[in-house]
Amino acid sequence: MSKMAYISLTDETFRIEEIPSEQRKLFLGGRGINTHLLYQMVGEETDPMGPENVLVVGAGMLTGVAGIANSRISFSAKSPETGLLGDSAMGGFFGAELRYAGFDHLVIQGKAKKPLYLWIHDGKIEFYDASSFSTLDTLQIQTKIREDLKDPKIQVACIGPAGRNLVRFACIIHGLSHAAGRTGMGAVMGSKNLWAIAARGKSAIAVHDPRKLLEVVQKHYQQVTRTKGFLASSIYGTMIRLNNTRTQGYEGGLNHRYNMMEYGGEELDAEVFIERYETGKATCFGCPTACKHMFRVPRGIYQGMECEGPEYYGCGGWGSQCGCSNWETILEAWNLCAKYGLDVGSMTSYTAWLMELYEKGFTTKKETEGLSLEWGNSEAIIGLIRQVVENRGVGKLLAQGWIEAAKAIGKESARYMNHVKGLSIECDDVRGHRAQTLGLATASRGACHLRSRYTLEEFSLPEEATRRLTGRPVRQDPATYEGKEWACYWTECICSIADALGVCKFMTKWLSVGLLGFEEFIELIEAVTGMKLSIEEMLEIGERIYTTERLFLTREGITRKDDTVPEKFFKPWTHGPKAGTKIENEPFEKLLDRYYELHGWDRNGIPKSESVKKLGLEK
Amino acid sequence: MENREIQIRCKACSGRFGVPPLQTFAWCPACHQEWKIKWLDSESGMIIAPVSWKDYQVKSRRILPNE
Repeated sequence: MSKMAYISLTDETFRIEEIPSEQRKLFLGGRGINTHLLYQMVGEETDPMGPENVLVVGAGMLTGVAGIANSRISFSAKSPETGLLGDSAMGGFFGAELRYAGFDHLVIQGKAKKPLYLWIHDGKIEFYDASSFSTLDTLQIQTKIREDLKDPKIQVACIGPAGRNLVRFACIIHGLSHAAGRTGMGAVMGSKNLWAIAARGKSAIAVHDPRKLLEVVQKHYQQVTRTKGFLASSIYGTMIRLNNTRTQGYEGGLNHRYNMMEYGGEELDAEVFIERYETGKATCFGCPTACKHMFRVPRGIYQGMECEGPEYYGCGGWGSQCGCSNWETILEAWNLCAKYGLDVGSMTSYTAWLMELYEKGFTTKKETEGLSLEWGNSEAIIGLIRQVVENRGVGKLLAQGWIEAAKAIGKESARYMNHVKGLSIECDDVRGHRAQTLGLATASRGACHLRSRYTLEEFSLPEEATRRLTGRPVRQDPATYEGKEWACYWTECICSIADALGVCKFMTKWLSVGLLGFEEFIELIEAVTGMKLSIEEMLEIGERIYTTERLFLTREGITRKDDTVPEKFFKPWTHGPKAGTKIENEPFEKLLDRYYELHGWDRNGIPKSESVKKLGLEK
Repeated sequence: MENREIQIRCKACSGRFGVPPLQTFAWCPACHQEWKIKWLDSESGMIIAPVSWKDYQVKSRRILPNE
């Protein structure tokens, strides 16, 4: 049976409960059950950095069994960065190992009296002193735990100096760079004096029909490994997007001032990275893709530096958004964020924001302790990361999150931060894609491409293909608003389900038509649990997860006025094939109306009582 | 010898055009942009970059009426 542990850090006790089968049917697992529990256990009065905040850790329903890219585990809490819904998932091997150790979900409450880590093994949970980690980075902590416990196969999720110093956008790291990155879940761990969770187990995960599961997985393996999406990911990983966004003109440049940079392409190209720095590939549990790059810097001031990564959002974030086309700066910045446990999505966009503020005279070298925050300045990019973690200079302000930093810098400075619901927008510029803009404006954890970005809008698919794929035809002209509410809704559902199952979205139809979708998920769920679901039921589960998240946001005061994108996005694109494209107010508002109606939310974006009841979400 | 082409979508104009398998450079017949092609296998080609990023990036700038 699936188990959940309720852990009190305050008195170092825990109790174990079985996950009710009804909860499984309604929310599956992972992000689904996390969201359900979080909505019940925290409220609008909860201080995200207080002991009353709850950190829910949840492996997906399929995580750790035979499958494809089913490695993922979600961390959810009230976010210290946005004050709203916090939720972030990571791949790697930690999720699978936690399940082998006997637990699908951990509900972590209270605050430890002194720094500690959880040692979870074979159905047991122990509380160990972590004081000796106080000078270690994330990689050193993982090594130390394995050495102390004399088991090299222990998997660890931990925070680094950023989380320990309560930086509001600290993340949780596992391995070299698997990160539960966005919304500051590392800060929540830091605030609880919980510095790491270590897991090791030998229990088997119960599978309803193992023979059937192997048949299904074999079929899916044949299916996905033939697709272009798989082949491209296995060479370039997410970095392929670096080239794609630039050629098509949705590369955010200089804090989203431009949608394509006019320089730097010869250097900042995925092919250049692979040729010059890549030393191999790494993967996550169950994934045939191996999309992660291992790299080594062969020369220069960072000679010998090795790490895993970087993902597209680091490359584009420090690249075009900060105007830097020096690979080695980007690789060092990535490496530092992994070692310190800092969210790359926020760190890159905060840097671009500060660079714009510096250009406009909001900040000077006095506040930055001598750092010249000019566009593209490598020293500034690296120096700012150190200042944040060491709590000094302008980094001391940033460590409190951009909202507090803007208050200190000056009222107008907030206008230059590109965010939705307090979470900064990463380097994609979506304004030419209507479904993607809607997804960004309404994403339940704030600006996020992994919640509801209809990626397929970029592929010019025939309408017949989109009908087969999503159940309804979606016009592929990115500039049309018609039917894009459905594209966004469908994407929300497939993303919610993938997170609830623990399947990586890069192996789903979210990214490429031939990858895994609802039909494949249904086969896997039946083989693993015996549960028989239809596509309609899958969509309903996705809707249930998303509406629960919306209820969380509604309770925090979020309404229609927050479902929008920054002012800059209502101005035309300056570059590229679609220059002149912009979001138009009236059609966007009508699109939002249709989107709310599809969800059963009222005109203000608040779930209607009948919709809540229909989904079984009334208290 | 088989004389066939693989369809590729131009990243500048979104039009589709044919490229012989494993050919590493191609012109879009509609917009005349020259691209580097990456072959993932003999059936799957994709545009990876313009032949010259510098030219592509500079010429992509449009002067808009409100600038």
